[in-house]
Amino acid sequence: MFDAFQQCISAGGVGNCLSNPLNYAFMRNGLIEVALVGLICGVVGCYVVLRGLSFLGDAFSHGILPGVVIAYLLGQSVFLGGLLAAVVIGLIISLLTQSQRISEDTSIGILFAGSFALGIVLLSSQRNYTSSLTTILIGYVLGVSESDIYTTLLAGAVVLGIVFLFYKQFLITSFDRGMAAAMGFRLGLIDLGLIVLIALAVVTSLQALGNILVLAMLITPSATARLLTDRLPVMMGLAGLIGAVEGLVGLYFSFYVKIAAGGAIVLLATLVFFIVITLSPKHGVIGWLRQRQRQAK
Amino acid sequence: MLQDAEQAKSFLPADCALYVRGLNVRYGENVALHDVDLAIGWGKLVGVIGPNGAGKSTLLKAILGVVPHQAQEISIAGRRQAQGRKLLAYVPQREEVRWDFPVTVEDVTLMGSYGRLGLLARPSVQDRKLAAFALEQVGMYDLRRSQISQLSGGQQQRVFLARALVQQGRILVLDEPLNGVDSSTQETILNLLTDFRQSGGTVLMATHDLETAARLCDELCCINRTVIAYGPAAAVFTPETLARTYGGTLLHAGHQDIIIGTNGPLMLPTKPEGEPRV
Repeated sequence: MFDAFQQCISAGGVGNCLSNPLNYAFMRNGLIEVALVGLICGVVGCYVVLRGLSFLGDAFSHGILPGVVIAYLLGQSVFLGGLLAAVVIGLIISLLTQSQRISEDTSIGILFAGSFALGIVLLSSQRNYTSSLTTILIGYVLGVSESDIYTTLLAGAVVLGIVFLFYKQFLITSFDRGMAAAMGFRLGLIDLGLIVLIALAVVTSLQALGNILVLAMLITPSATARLLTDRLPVMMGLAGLIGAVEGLVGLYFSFYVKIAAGGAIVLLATLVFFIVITLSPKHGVIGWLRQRQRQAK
Repeated sequence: MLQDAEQAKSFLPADCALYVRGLNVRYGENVALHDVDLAIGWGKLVGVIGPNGAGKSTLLKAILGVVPHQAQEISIAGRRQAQGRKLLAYVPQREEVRWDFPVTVEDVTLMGSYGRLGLLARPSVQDRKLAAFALEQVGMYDLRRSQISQLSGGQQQRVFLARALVQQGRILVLDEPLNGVDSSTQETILNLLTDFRQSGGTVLMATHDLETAARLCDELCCINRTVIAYGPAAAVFTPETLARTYGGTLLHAGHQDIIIGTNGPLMLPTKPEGEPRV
């Protein structure tokens, strides 16, 4: 399993292992893409984690499947297809949640499962249905083109710019809604802005991670960062860094071990999360045990 | 002595800290408040009392403009609500906040400045000084770098009060600030409220601590879906008025008055204007 890895080490050490894949354009593009996606998702994911919006993120990543499929079938940009679908999904969710009878999570659940099914039905008419579906659902980071990277860069600049500029608004509406309303902040508008950011982060990550795995990069690095700090700005920086590094390491790993890149990245992120939650001095299992011991005394 | 609806209307909004006329609040089909008329002057410490679910919080939130409501008029310091509400400082109920949020005491206090900052502006050096000063006033400066979930209930309430001070309002609105806090915090809070009133500001405080309300407030506002009574504390704090407010039966048991209300029996403090408890 690790043959390729051993070969490159014996040929020129660890440095050689790191530089070797860079000889391939698809690896260079892929590495840039996963680092960017890890950064964007990590930062936006902080609000997803802190506000408890994981389900909404999940709904978006599944619900935009029809848009992605149509774009795929027409040979158009997956990013644009996903973005259009995200707008439609967002509008329908906000309409459905007006109803008093049906709770918000139920409306979202119905919508995203139905939309996902529509995507599968659309794709199933195709001859190479299974392999296309796999590509869309788990992503294909090695198929990232240079123009995809520019799209990601642009989307990333917009997302991070908004997070930075409206830090005050997102912070106070996440922490203390009553106070935010009393100060005259427009909660509806700011919530909508946050949903747009989540949708943008999800759509941007589609090419690299696919519809299913993107959720992991949206919440796992941010949740990991939350265990390491008690300051929001630090948490955002850490989450972006953790996401980017996990993307890079996961992709290198998948290159040498020859496994699916998206899976490797998400598995690594999950592993890191469990290590941190075990070892974290403040919030981890060990810290918790130590605290209990202290209380027992 | 008591202000009735007609009297409330006869005041000029411009002279009042708060002026409310014909306020109605509905949650769906439930009427939370109806036909509220109030005129509150400057330099007053006003206690809002009433049973659970009587609409104390709702009244505060309607004045703050955070719950949908209809009113003929709400004016704050003689201005319309939309402009006047910048003059309000607010201490919400502690339960309504995500205390596990990754912010420090200092961060929370600084949020008090957010309401007056421009769209993209950040707190200035001046705002940071204000926050530091407010934290000193509530005795939390030494803990300014602590994460808020590590604080006790009383300490959290102090931070909330510091944040409200940073808002630099002229009217301080507090929702159950004495709920579940230790006695030294209670003292700190009440001292600051008295100072605030002394400097000419008005305090509007919802509380179910009747004894403290009677002891410290200049005026009391009894609420049960509407204003039952409003006026100087001594005039309002009578067993009869309280029985009307709490919607129960008044019993006299020796020196102790007891109201058997919908929330269960309520013991009234024996001395309305009496000395502090020993």
